[in-house]
Amino acid sequence: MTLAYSVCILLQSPFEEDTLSVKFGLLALLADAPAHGYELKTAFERRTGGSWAINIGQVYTTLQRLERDGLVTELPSDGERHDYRITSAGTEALGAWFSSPVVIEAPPRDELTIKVLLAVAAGDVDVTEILQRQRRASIEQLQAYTRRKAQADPDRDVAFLILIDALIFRTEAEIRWLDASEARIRSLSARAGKATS
Amino acid sequence: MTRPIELEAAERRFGSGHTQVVALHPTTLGVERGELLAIMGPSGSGKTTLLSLVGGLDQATGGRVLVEGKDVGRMSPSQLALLRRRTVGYVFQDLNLLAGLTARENVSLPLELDGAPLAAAQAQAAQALESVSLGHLADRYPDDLSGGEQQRVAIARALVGGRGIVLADEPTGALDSMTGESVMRLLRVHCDAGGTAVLVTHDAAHAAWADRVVFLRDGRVVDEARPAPTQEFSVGTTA
Repeated sequence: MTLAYSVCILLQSPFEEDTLSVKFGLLALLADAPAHGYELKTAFERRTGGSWAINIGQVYTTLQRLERDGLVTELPSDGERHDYRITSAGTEALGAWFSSPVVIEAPPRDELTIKVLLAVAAGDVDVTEILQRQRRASIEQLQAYTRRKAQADPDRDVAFLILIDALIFRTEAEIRWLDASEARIRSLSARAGKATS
Repeated sequence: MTRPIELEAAERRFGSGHTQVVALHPTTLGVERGELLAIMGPSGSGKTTLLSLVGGLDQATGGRVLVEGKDVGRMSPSQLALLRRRTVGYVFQDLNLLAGLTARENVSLPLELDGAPLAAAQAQAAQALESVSLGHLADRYPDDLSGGEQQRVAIARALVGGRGIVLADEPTGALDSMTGESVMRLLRVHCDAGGTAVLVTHDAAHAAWADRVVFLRDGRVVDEARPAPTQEFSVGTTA
């Protein structure tokens, strides 16, 4: 597989997971009780550990789409509040979403992966140095996360801790990938060294 | 004030002539009081060599290693034994505890070897076990404890008697992530209370509990990481 081909795969358009998460996030909240747009916005942000700010416009657009698809319905309004409730079709769709695993099909389309691939191909770039610089930055990020985690209350801050674990494990995976990449490059240059000596 | 640990161009070579191997090139490194330092690097990068020099388990072939201001390389075997009983505690990945002794006896052993009266030693051991939340399991034998509990007993033993320095070589290696995290929390608490610890690990998530992470490669320190004070975490700032 050529490098150009690898980069093409990495640059394919990403899955629209943001829109989907907001859609089912609102459905999950409405499954608890009817609510209006602003309530949904604040509850969504609270339940995602404060990690995900959504704007009120996005909440209303999503509610309109959900209503169009018959998954929610607007309750009779007193003129000021516009409350929505989940329909039986909405409950069904939410159940199906919770019970299906999330599969990330597209390869990661991130700058770091592409930078390392291009650096390996370039030949005249010190890849080990690039990897180490990234490793230092990732560890420092991990240290910052860990400090926040150490201060959290395991009983009260469960949503926050689950979120921060996700960030920690993703960063850890990135570091393991850096280590593995470096090991591959070292063993390649060791073999190349033997071949020329 | 003297730093608890100081390496001054410390090096370790094995063999001589063209078969010579340099496990650690001259390395200068200080560890502050209250600091948790992690050492990371690939296998064979010199991590364990560095730790062994600090703990007096191995001797530098050049430079000096100072622990609480004293040159470890100039200590007699009995002074080294004293260093390990009173100043430096060790935690390894495994082979930590004596199977024929209970948790409390394992922890009190270094005190007894140091000549403490049995009752006093046992009382201190009970207190040390309490500090790692294992007071209720003091009379269990190692085989009746989980891996994580055994490692916490090992930490209690490393700390007992007021030893300020803990050297830990892959202490979380055989543990699952939550149990490994509880071990790291104990080391963090020890350092936050003014103790000092050096941790060798290949696990980035555990190294991240440290104030500073030093990277070794081919026997040399190549880099170090410490979070900038301004490096803030973004969660919570958007709400």
